[in-house]
Amino acid sequence: MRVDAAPARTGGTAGAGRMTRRTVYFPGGPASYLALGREPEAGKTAAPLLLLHGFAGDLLTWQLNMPVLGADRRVLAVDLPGHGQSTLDVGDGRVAGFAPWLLRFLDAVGLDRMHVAGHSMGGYVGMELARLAPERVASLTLIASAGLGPDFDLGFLRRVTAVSSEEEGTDCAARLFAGPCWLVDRIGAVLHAQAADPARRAALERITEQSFAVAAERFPPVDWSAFPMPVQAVWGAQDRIIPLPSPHMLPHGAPLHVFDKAGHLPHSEAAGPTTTVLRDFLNLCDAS
Amino acid sequence: MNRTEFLLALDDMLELPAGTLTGTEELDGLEGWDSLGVISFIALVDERTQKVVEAEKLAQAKTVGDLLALAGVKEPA
Repeated sequence: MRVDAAPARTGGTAGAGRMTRRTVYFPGGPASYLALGREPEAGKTAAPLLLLHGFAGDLLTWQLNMPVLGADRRVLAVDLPGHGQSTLDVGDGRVAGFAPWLLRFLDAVGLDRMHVAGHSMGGYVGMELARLAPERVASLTLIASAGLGPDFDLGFLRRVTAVSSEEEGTDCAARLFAGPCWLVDRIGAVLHAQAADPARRAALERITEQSFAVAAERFPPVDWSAFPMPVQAVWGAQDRIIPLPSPHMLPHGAPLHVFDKAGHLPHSEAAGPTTTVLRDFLNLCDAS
Repeated sequence: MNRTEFLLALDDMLELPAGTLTGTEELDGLEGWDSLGVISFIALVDERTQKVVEAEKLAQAKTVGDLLALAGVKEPA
């Protein structure tokens, strides 16, 4: 196992200077990730937090949340296979296959047990990780999450993988939000750039067809008895990609936080409230 | 942390030579003001001032001076 790039900062959330991605090499890797945050104060328990981004995104989707979450604990955000600066090898394209990959990543960076929060496809991956290794997942936060049922906009995912211009990328990006957002142009440019990269586009197409197209056809209800950890869900009321789940799609008693003025990216569009909900939940789970 | 110290910290964060930023610069014109820059800025403010920058206000920031205001750094008398 080899780790490249700048040393992780310790002692505070960042220290002086610019945050930099790190790369860890392991069989099936490499994985690109960003790590920050404080070790818990003496006498306090604060399990680390692993953040998983959504389809066609990358770890930078957590830009507005990570530093605040890092005030309490170590926080790692990783680029999933086929995304960001991690390996473009997505195997057979099934999201379930990302869970064992994540376990190898977690072993490589020395994370034994942690909270997991995933957005959209990242929530789906988080569920697969929790199913595969429940003893390693202290809690699960599902943000506008895939993996709960067959009701989502498959056509949008196919369009995102085939964006042919920056304008179309911007149009797709705008659909992710409830209203105007400063991130739209930036996300649109990224969507266009990755669709123009044949290897990256092939990886996204494989995930779309092998995971999401299959899920849209048939998606058995989630057996929540396989998830012993606390679970919560966070959604934007104006999500046009994955609509609000019915209560029966979530574990009995799991909190569902809905933000009115947010779409598919509540952690960006309602960053403050989403971060607060997440932080409170993690602290509660640590204390119990 | 005073204004000069914070500007120097921002120089470092944006990988600029010390003393580059004065406060009047437009953020759109700064190459290092990207997503990693945003993460670094929020973390810097938290560490140096124990303040949480509100993402919604950060979205409105146009200049380095706006960042200083968000960080609560006082203008020189």
